[in-house]
This record gives sequence, C-alpha cells and structure tokens, in this order.
Amino acid sequence: MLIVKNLTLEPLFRQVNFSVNKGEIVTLMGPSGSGKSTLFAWMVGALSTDFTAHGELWLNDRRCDTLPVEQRAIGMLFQDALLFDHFSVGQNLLLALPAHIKGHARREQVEHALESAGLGGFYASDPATLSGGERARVSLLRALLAQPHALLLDEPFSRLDKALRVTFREWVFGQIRALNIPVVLVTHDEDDVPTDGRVLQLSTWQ
Amino acid sequence: MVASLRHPLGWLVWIAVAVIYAPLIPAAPMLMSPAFSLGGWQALLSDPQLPQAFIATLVSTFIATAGSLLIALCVVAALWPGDRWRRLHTRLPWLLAVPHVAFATSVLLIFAEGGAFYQWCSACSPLIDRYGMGLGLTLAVKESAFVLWAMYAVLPEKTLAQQMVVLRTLGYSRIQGLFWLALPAVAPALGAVMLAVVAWSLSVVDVAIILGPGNPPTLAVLAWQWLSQGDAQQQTKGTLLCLVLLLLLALFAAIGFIIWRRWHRPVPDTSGVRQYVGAPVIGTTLGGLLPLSGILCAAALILLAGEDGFDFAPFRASFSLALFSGLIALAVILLWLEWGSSGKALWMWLPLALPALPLVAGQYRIALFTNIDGSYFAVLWGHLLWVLPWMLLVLQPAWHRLDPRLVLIARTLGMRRSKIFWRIKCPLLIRPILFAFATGFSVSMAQYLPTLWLGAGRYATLTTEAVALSSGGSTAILAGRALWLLALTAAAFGIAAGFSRLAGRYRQGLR
Repeated sequence: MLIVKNLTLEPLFRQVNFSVNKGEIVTLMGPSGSGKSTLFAWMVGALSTDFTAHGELWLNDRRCDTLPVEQRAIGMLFQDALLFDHFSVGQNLLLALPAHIKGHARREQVEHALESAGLGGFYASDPATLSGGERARVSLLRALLAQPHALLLDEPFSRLDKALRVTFREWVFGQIRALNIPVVLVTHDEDDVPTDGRVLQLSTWQ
Repeated sequence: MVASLRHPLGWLVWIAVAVIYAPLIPAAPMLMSPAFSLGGWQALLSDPQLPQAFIATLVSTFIATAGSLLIALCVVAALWPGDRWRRLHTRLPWLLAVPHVAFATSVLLIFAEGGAFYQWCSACSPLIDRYGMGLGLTLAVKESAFVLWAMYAVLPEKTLAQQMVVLRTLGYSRIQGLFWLALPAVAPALGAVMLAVVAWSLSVVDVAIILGPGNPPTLAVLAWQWLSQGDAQQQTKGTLLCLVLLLLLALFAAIGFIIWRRWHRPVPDTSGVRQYVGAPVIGTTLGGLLPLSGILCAAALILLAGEDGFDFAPFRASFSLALFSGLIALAVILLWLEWGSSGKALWMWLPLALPALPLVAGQYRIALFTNIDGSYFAVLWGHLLWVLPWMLLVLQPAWHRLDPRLVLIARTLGMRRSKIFWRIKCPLLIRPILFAFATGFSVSMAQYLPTLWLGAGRYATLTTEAVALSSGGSTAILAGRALWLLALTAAAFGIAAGFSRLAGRYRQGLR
C-alpha cells in the first residue's frame, strides 16, 4: 500500500493525505500548472529545492521519503518516453531488469515482454526509429520490468494522438493491474480515468 | 569565404583575423626546421637538466589533467542535475575570475618553504617537491573550475535530467547515471576541453616559474629560457623542446582517446547490477570548496599584502592592454560572426589547443621582421591571439542560439542587414557580450610570455611583475601585485555581472 501522510508542499499543497491499495489505480485530477508534476517529483525523490516539503511517504510499511531515488522502488512514467537514445530497445529494457535474473533468462524476459506488447523483433532496434506509440510502449515495459513496488504515471497519454490513446490506455491499465501494485495517475483529461477508479481533485489540498 | 568577401566589412574582418592569426604560419616552419638536425637533438638529449625536467613535466601535467577531470566528475556525479548544480555554476566565477598567477602566488605564499602555513604550524615541514607535484595539484584545482564550467554549458538540462531520474527510479546510482547518460552526452566537448587543459599544463611558463621545481625547471620553462637567449645552439635546443612538447601533447591526447575507447563500450553493462554508493559526500564537499578556494586566495593575498604594495605603472599597463585587447577582439568577433565566418573554421581554436611557446616564438619572429618589437602595439597584437579565441568560445554559442525567426521578422519589417546586426542581434546578446568582454579582459591580464617577449621587457604588467618577484623579493610587494591582478580581473567580471543583472532586470527575456 502507498500512503502519503500529512504532506505540506510549500507553496502548492497543504495537508495532502491519501492512500492507494495494491492493484488500485488512483487518479489525481487538476488543471495544468496545478503542481501535479511537483507532487510526483516529491514522491519519486527528485524535488527541486525551490519547494520545501514536510510529510511522510510510506510504501508497503517502509518509510520512503528519506531514501534517495534509487532505493524507493517507485517507478515513473513521464509524458515523454525518455528512452536512452544511445542504447538499443533491448538494452533499454535489459537495464531495467533486476540483477538476480541472470544469463539467458534476461534476454528471454525482454523478448517476451516485447512480444506481449506487440513489439516482437524490435530487440535490436534504434529507439529513434520507433513511432510515438511504440516508444510509449517500450517506456512502460521498461518501468514494469524493474519490478517496482509502486508506479507513478505523469500524464503518460497526453502526447499520443486520439486514435492511439484509447488502445494504449487500455493496454497500460491491463498491464499494471496484472502486477498488483499501487498506481497513481495524474491527468487533466477525464477520459484518462480508468473505469470505476477512484478520482481525487488536487484543488481540495490547495 | 567567397560569400563573406562580397561585403566590404567581410574583407575588413578577414584582414583583421589574418593579422592576428599570422604567427601560426611562421610557427610551423620554424618548429620544423631544426627537427632534422642530428646535432641539435644530440645537444638536447645530452643536456643534464633534461631527464628530471621531463619527469617533472610529465608528473605535473598528469596530476593537473587527471586531477581536474576527477574533481569535475566527482562534482558532476554529486550535484547534476538539480538546483545545487545551477548554484555551483553561479559561484564558479569566484574561482574562475582568479588569474592563474594570482592563485599560484597565494599558494606559494602559504605553502612554500617559510610560507604562512609553516609559520602557523611550526611542527609541519614542507615536502621537497622536485617533480612538480605542487604545481600539478594547484593546476588541478584551478582547471577543475574551467572543466566544470565547460560541462555546464554542454550538459543539456531538461531531457537528460529526466532520463537521469528514470534511470534512478530503476534503482541505479548517480555514478552509473554519470557514466551511462551524462558522459556520452558531453564526451566530444569534454575531450576538447581536456585537450586544452593538457596543452595549457604542458606549456605553462608563468605558474611553473612560481610553483614548479627550480633547478631544473619544467620543460616549458627550460624551452623558454633557451629560446630567449641569443646563442644559436640554445635557440635550436629550445625549438626542439617546443617540438617535444607538441609530441607530448599528441601522446597525452592519444592515451586519453585510447582509454576512452577501451573503457567506454557502446553496449552498457546490462547485467542489472545496481551499485549503491551512498550519499555523494566527496563531490558535494568539493563543489562547496572550489568556489571557496577563490575567496580564500583573495583573503590570503589581502592579509599578506603590504600597504606600499601598489605601483601605478604595471597597473596602468595591465589595465590598458586588457581594456583595448578586449574591445578590439569584441569588435572583430562580432563582425566576424556576422560577415566573416564560414563553416566551422577550426583553425580559430588552435591557440587554445596548442602550447603557447611556439606561437609566441612565431609572433616574435614576425615582430622582428616588421620591426615592431618592443612597441605597445606589438604587445597588444600579441595578446589578441589568445584573447580572441577565448572570447569567441563564450560568444559563439550564444550567437548561434539566436532565433533565426527574429531575423526573418526584422527583414519582413524592411530592416537591412547592418541595421538588424546593430539594432536586433547585438542588443539581444548583451549579456554574453558583457561576459565575453570580461573573459577577454582576464585572458589579457594573464598573458605572460607575449608581454615579455614582444614588449622586449619594456612593459611591466602585474603578471610579469608577480612572476619576477616570486623568485625572491618582498612577500608584501609580491602579494600586493597578485592582489591587484586579482582585483582588476574580479572587477571586470563583477562589472559585467552587474550590468548583466541590470539588463536582465528590465528585460527578463535576455539570457
């Protein structure tokens, strides 16, 4: 379970309190400029020092807000795919796999993940040659292969065109439900909210 | 080039640049002519000073290069990306603005035998430094600020910083991010910067006289001593030594390139091992200490300077040379960027990448030929060969970042090219122009060899005086010269920063 406890993020939010259960996708709604990305930056551990934050972040009974980014086990998906452009698609994904998966199993897992996303045969591809939708899918695969204990989605659908959005959204929700981890999604678009998912308005904390 | 010559200003600026860069041409044959004389090489190799001077040069250059790179990488790993990295960038000028000679003087006055440190700590005794380790360490600290400054300019903030966050959410450390994301992005620029650092450390004369081993000195000092003596055989030995310095530069560059290729594989380590390295204490501390060392240097000089340390003549010479060379170079560069430049013109960067000695020798040859040696004009011309490329280094990126749509709009409004240059481009670039001028000013202030040679010893500047006094003389007067050197340079940067802030206050879009 992911819990944000008594978070005050000067000068944006006061008394932010919410929790997300395993397998649940909670949507935070707010217009652009309302500080959604700043809230995520705090949760992931990359908050700019222009802001001061007080509050606690708990993930599966472990306090996370005092840990550096790399130890929080919180995955993140941005608006842009942010693939590492100088590595191949396969290397981008290999990088995400935990070290305890060794040898041939590494490549097999990556190939399997690519096939499940309809990207079979893309292992050796240069990320720059992929379409926007393909890049977005690789980016989610990368976040998932790291086996995060929670996932933050920062408007991951906003850069995709309309036709692509619907199918990609359903695919993403399907993938993350299978992992059974808490997921937080921020968006300004009502269409992005998963069916019967909980919605929190950011304005209640401002 | 052909296109740029259609305009009369194109002609003018090409001639100006040709006059400034002319010494590159005699420098090449002058270097090569004794290269095939066996007797010359024999005389050089049998010189008893050579082996130790060679080792001292290698040691000091290696410490300076590897040390500055190591310091810079530690700081980048600890602070980039983020606000502390930006804050460091605003504080780096505290150290950057300190001229090398002033920095070296303060190190000398504190840490040399009988220096302030040993007076304070009587139990400590100075180490005997025959191999230029102190020189190397001092240069490493000073050059690391330059390396960091250059890395700030080339490290893209936005996308790469977000990729770094992604990599860290996957569980990788800052160090792994540095090697996989940041270094590949800056490698070409960093290579050029390190080449400049090697070239500079190999051929530095003024700082080596102050801090380096005395007898025998480093190769560069030895070459300079031989070249400035009239004896033909010693001239040959000096020229050959310049050639050796060039070969050493090539050797360092080759080794650096090989290490980079060997160690940097295009395929990252995909075994998934996450190295946990803990909080980056060393890098953070270094990032705080570097700007502070500039302040400490100033404080030491203030404490040690005597009251009668001020002499107007070197102050005036330094100030006028720096002012005029900065202004001339600024005008030439702006005209060059608008009317002269064509393509990349890599030769313009040669003075930054080559050891200074053979270039000064080339300048001296031309000055003798045209009979202008010993004149104020010759010294000014000599300074421009280094002032111009350094200023170009600051101005050119800003010039190329100008939005071409602005120029297009100005043209649709009916403006002519000269009017666009004068009324649109120059005002938009006011902040880089101010900073470039301060840089040029400080580069001219720091010139030692051209001032000494082309001025035939008639124009004593703060730099030449400080170097001369460092080998023995009054501590108070030496500290005073170094202090004024520092004060003038710092004032130039301070004034530039003040005006720049003023411009930014009224027009926030000016960057």
